[in-house]
Amino acid sequence: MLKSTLIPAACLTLLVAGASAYAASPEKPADYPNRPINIVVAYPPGGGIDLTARTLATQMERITGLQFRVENRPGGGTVVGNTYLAKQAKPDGYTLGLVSNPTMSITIVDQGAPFTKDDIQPIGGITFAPVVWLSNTESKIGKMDFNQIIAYAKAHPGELKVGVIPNGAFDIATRILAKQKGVEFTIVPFQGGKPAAVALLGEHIDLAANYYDEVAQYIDTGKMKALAISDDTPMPQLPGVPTMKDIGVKMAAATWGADRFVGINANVSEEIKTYLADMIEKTLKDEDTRKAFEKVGIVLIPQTAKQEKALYDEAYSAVSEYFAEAHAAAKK
Amino acid sequence: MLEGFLNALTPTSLFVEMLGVVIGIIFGAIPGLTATLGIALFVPVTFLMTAEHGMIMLGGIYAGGIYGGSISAVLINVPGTPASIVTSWEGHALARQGKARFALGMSALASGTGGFISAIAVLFLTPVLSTLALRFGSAEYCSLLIFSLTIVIVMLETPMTSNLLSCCIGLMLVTIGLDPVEGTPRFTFGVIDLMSGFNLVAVLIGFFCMTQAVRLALDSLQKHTENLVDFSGETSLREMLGALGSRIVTHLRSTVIGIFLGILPALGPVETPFIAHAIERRFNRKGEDFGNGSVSGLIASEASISANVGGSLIPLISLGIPGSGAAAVFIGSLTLHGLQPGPLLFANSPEVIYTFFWGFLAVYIFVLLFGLIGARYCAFVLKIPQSVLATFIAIFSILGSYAINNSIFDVVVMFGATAFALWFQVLRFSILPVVMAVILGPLFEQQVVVLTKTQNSVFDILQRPIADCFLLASFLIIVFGVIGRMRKKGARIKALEGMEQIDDA
Repeated sequence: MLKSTLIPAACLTLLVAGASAYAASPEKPADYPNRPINIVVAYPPGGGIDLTARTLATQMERITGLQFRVENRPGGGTVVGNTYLAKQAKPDGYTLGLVSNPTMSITIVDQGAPFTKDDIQPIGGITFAPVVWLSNTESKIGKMDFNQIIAYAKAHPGELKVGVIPNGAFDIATRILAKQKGVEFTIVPFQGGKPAAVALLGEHIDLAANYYDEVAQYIDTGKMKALAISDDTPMPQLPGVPTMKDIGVKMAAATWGADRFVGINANVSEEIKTYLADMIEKTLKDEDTRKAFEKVGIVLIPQTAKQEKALYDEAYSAVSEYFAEAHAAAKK
Repeated sequence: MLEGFLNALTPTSLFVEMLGVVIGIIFGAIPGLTATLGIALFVPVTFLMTAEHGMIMLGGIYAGGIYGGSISAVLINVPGTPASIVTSWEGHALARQGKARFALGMSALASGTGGFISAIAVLFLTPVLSTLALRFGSAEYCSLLIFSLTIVIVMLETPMTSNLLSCCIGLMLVTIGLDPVEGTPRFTFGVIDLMSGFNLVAVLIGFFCMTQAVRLALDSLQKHTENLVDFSGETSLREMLGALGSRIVTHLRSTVIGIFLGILPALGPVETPFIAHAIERRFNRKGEDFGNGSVSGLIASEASISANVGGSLIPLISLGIPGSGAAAVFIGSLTLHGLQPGPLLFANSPEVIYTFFWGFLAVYIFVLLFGLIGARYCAFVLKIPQSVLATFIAIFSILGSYAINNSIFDVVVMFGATAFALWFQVLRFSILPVVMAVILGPLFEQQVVVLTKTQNSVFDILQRPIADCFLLASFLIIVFGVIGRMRKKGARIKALEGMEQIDDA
């Protein structure tokens, strides 16, 4: 009896020792991977996250010599794909996910997604895109800067219509902003960033919240004006556009936007997780990877597994706090 | 522009144009496998090509797929893609009258020329027409959708109340899923797969493909050995051109409707033929029996679908807004080649765009050629025994509905839709209002939500001329429709009374 418990214990010690040795110089786990690794995307093909996943897959193949495949599992506002990643796929290290926060946190906290925050573990951050608020340059508020628009909104409560995606980062960041500035916007829900951008171009709404890469061409051609971004660090692509700090709004840094990272089922063996995290880190550090991402309009802001975990936890608590407050306010 | 023209005629370009069309026709013609699925599967292949060849091939798959869908629609009454549903009513009815080859040729002709005209519109009118996509706000969308639903409810021969009821059932079905305001799950009962609602393609495969498989199976069980349709009837190109020539107004009207609906970002090739067909039914003066083998109906359907594809490229190229689901895949493909569709694309890489435009024009010529020459070889489908055919359709319906999202749930939805459609048949209700409501419902709800947030009063809506036109037209259709039906009813009662009097005498 004693012997039979001793042997696994000894093996475990060896394994742990082995794992720490891997951490120092990443080596391939034995017999892994022996088939292509899937990257699950909870969106249909062609969108920003899909693009990120496909570019990552190509670059990972180039650097690691392994095979990666992108698998689209759209539906249920990302819940279908992320549930597959967190619960349904085997935790054998062959299923990764390209996940976007705070969207995923919101589905857990507010929309009853059937998995918890700890079912998914981030193993590498790719980029963070803040929300950009935009106006149509030809509209009546097209010449105003951010502060002038806030002044206008104060004088005309509820008149300015802001296009957002309901209950996503666009919506929540806009509500936080409006509350702190003491203004009232009419929030118009759209089923995607593109329809809202179209409505702004057609002057059916006055402002829109969107991501830079979706509207870059409209800004470059002078059809839209970027007013502010939902982060404390300025965006290199939008020099001179005020941050939340600049306009005096307190908002969790690098949270309300799109934090795109690679996630994996938390039950996957540590050995594989460490190996994959190292491979992702190595790929994202590479100069040609940066260029490949830039070519499709994505500026890399790589995070190690550890850094990304911290961001992940912060985003979750920010989302939980927001909804706790919102629900308490609704009860009053 | 000239350079693009020459690029589109190089041997490689011609090869990808042809290859795309052939792949598309195969995907389209097999019921259950759709053109969109074909595109999705071949997008990775295009990464190996240059951007313009990749786009041309996708365009070819798409155009070929839409045409291929019509082949199975005409021959076995199974729309190969959801866009061919309308074609199946008219085309298959024609085939049953022994005009299968004529119907196939007509659909190739209408589809090819419709697409050709739309490609020309894309080439020359893109800057002019692109602003139309921006003019259309929620008020315009809502009134257009009300107009479309009204036409179907009033113009179908089945009792108006049953049409209205079916339409409401369809609208209720699409409320399942996340609501567009708060993102709260509705009628999902905790089932995650229901959060995005029923998948439209799965529902349509159930309504039209699986249902027909069941019907064919029943037929073969009851030992109906006669051929589904007769394919022997010869038809000359001259006859077809004559038929098209005498309906040139129908063709142009439907092409314009197709381009117009294509420009609107929210209406794609699935919705378009319904609207074009309904409008044609209202305005056609030829006295044809719509829904039962009307050549005008067939032309309206085919021309509008192809024109829609061309139309959807206009906002895509000029504004970066996809006009349909397939166009969205084009955007993804372009972006992966490092090209951002939108206002800057014309300025930065005009050669890619013009090559694609001309290639797209060439694609429609290939569709036309394949359709006219290849149609005679389709007869082999009819030599297959009905029981085998039913099995194949059933297998591909299951495969096709699974392949949309790799989800077994969609297969279950497909079977549910089949049961629903069969039940409607037993009740002698028309499934069409349900289909229209299921297809247009989600868009209608989204636009109503935006409308209520952006317009302060009814007066605001009435100040928008485009919306007013649609609302007025809907109103007139209701008034005249009701009067027309009452007259008919009156005439029938009179006739009955007359017969009674004769009996009395």
